[in-house]
Amino acid sequence: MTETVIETRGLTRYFGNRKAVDGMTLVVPRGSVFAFLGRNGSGKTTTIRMLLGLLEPTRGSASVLGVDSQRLSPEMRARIGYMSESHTLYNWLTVRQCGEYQSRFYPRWNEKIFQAVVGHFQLDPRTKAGSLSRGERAGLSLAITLAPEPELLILDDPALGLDPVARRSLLESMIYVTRGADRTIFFSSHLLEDVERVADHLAILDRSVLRACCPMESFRAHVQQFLLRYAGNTVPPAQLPSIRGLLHARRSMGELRLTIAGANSDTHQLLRTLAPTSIEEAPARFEEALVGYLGNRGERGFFLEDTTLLETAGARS
Amino acid sequence: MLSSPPVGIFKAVLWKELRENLKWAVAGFIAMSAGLAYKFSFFVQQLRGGNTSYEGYAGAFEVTILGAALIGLSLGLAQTVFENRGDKWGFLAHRPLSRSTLFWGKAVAGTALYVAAAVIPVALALLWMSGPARLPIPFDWRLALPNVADLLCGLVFYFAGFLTGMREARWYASRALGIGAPFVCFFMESDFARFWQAAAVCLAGVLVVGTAAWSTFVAGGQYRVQSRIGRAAVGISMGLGVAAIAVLAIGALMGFFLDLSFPSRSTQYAVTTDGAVVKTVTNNDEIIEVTDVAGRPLDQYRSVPSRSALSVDVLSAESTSFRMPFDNYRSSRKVFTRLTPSRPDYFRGTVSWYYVHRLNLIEGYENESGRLVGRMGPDGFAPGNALPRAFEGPLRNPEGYGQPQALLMFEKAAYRLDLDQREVAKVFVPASDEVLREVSVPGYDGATLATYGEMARFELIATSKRAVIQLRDGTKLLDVPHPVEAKEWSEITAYRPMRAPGMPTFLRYSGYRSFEPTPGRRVPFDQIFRFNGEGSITQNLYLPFVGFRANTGAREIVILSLTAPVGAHVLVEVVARIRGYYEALPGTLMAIRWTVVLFIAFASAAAALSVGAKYNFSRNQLLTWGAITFVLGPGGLLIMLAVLDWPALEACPVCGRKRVVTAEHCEHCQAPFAAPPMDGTEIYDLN
Repeated sequence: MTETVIETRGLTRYFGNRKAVDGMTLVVPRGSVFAFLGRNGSGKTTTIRMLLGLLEPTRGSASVLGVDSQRLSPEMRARIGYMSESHTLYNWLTVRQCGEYQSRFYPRWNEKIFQAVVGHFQLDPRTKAGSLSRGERAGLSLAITLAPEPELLILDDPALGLDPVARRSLLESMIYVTRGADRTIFFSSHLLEDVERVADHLAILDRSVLRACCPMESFRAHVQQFLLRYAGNTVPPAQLPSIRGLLHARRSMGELRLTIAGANSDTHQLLRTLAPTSIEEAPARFEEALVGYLGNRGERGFFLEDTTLLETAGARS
Repeated sequence: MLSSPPVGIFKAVLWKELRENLKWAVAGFIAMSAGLAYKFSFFVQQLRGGNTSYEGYAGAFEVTILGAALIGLSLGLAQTVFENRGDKWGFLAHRPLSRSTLFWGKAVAGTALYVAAAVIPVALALLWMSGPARLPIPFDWRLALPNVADLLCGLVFYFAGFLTGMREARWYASRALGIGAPFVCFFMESDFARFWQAAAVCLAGVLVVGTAAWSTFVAGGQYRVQSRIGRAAVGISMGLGVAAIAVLAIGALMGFFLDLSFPSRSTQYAVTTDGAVVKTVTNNDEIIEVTDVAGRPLDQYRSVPSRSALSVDVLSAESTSFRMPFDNYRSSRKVFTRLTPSRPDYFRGTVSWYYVHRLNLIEGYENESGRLVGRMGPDGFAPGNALPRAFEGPLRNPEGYGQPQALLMFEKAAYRLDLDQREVAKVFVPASDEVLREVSVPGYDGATLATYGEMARFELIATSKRAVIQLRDGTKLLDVPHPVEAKEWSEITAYRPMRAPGMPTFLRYSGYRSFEPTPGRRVPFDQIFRFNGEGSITQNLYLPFVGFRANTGAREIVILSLTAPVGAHVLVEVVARIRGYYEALPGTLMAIRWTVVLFIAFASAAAALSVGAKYNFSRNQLLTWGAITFVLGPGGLLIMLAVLDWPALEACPVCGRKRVVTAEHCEHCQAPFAAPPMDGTEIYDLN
């Protein structure tokens, strides 16, 4: 069994009567680059704050580096790097002072890493943090997060709002510094392209509920796309049967495209009852699969709601 | 690789806090300095004009407590509200140091900034005052004690601000309750007589509210996860806030339903112009009823319109020394007694005179320049800085110098002063086996003096054994031993009805200490004796107590019963019994009081238990909050609602009853929380 750095059991958090995270059971293996995905408000930041001991879970538990997240000692926190989505810094400090200030707290502070990241982002050490652009702030934030050489790096949507160049710099710095040392990166993001490029594991939060937690390959293998073809201009059936694992359905003239997670022989049997002329099966594209998870599910999809439009179009042609 | 010792970490936190909050301290320093400068210039102007005493214008330093409170509160809030939530909290707290270290870094920096903003301006003002020829007062550093107490109290405000900024609660609900604690502290410290008591109250406030602030900070604002000590400190802080609000609310209710102004209707004893002792009921000065001491109406005074008209030309030399310790730390009287009247209508000179207790000498200061004019001892005046022979021991009557010329009393001598002439004359020396206990002169105006001449300027001198009424030339009008019945007197007053036949003298002895009955004495001692010209007692009357409890009415009792909790009622009863002024209410009122009070106590406890059961309180929690709400009534319920975290309630899918979301199992049916429903899209590959 792989060694884990983060483990949660039934982790739940309420804000008033609203459930922000619901019974999350998650495992992050050591050495992984773990993407934590979900739409805005799905509970990613809340989960990260609970992992860092900044928020107390309503119930359930989380352990980080083998320690209850609510009891992280200063020594443990030194082993965990954290970068928030707003790239919080003390605006009245210059870039150099930011580094000096942070270095006081970390016995393993690596000035070379700090300078390397600052240099990579071409930051002037004399500039005050308050005067930096969003991308530059992200760079400085990353520099002070990476310099203590953390064993576990938790990044909350680090590339949020960055231009493509800054985003690329951020990813490069992140990967360059941490991969060689077999460190773990746990990061949340909305940028699927970045996730696909760097992550080897992922977890997907759908409206506070964890729907997937697996290696990337496993995810790709589990999410399939089925193309059901119908003869001529035949409109696919308006009503679909209940298909287990259905993530997304798109109907067009003469074909029905379904994205399904965990399809098995029962799924195939069920699809055949829809009487297509042929069924083609292929792994779903990563983005398609993720959108399936993060968007409205299955039959609630927009394209299935309004079948009259399709029928009208079919009659016209 | 650098190594950072804990001291370095602490210094870093300290530096960051100092740098980040310096702007608030600078703003506070400017505001405090400006406030002090404004009040101080007015104070100096008044003192130099001879229009005020130091006492009367200690208001110059009112700005101290106001400034200290505002600066403390602002700094505490500024250090928390800007970084207590979200990513800023994460950036602050996710560091390799304990939250306690973070707290101490903040607290030490906050205290240092508070000192810079609030303490330094006050210290500078005092330093200026202490210089020679600055103000026409004998400056002594003990005069700074009220400021020190107020500045200490400002620290309680600081921690209250910290607690308020950090605690998770809604502003419009209970968040600001913690600010009540320093207000309670302030009222207590300004009410205590001794500096150590005031300082102890402030330090206790710092300890309690500081612990609450620390605990809340370490817990990230939540209550549930705090240590027992932290929870208790938060509870006490909130409780003090509730108490402050309750007192204000009760005061407002009383003010709304009752007239709490000093009762215009009062019952007093008086010596009439014709030399009778009567009991009067007056409304303001207007006579409503005149009776004899036993309460029988006296028709001959029915037409007298006012109390003052009842006692025309009755000169009284009233007791001035209440036998109370005059070392209230807020009073300058511990340092000096101002001998020059501060009222402008009496004020005649350009020099202010003080009896300086430390030197046992009288010092005179030129009002305009603040220069020391000279000193007076029993041998007379010595100009400049010369130190004449001192008076013999501590001044025994450091009160009551409202007249241009007055008497100084020591244990073994009494002196008359003529400040205009800068003269001192010894007027009485008691026998070797007695000591002086009272000296007093009557108040009179020019007309009285013109009519009765030197007879109006008599002096009352009481030793441990006898009472003497003498004229300024030493003629003794009365020299009698204290009556046996009045052996344990505390106050003595002489009345001389100048128009009464035979011009008798009345001596009223009482065992009261100030306005309160003597502790431990169930029936206060108050007796008046009439002496004829030969010194024989011709009348001896016991004066029944006509004190404050006689007016307690049903409305007050009902309002107090409805608003004050059972704990307060029990406390008042116990204190009243211990201090000896317990007075039983009439049976019906007593029954109403305790019925209402106990009903509210039980109802509050029942409400707390009901809420507690709903939120799955443990047995200990139920007992604790049940007891607190029973003793503190609705206030206790408010404290409970204010301090506890209230989790959401959800219907249990198994038993259907509401259960708290924080428990792993339903408290009713023990069913665990179900995992979120699966919809078939789940991919869990956790290995």
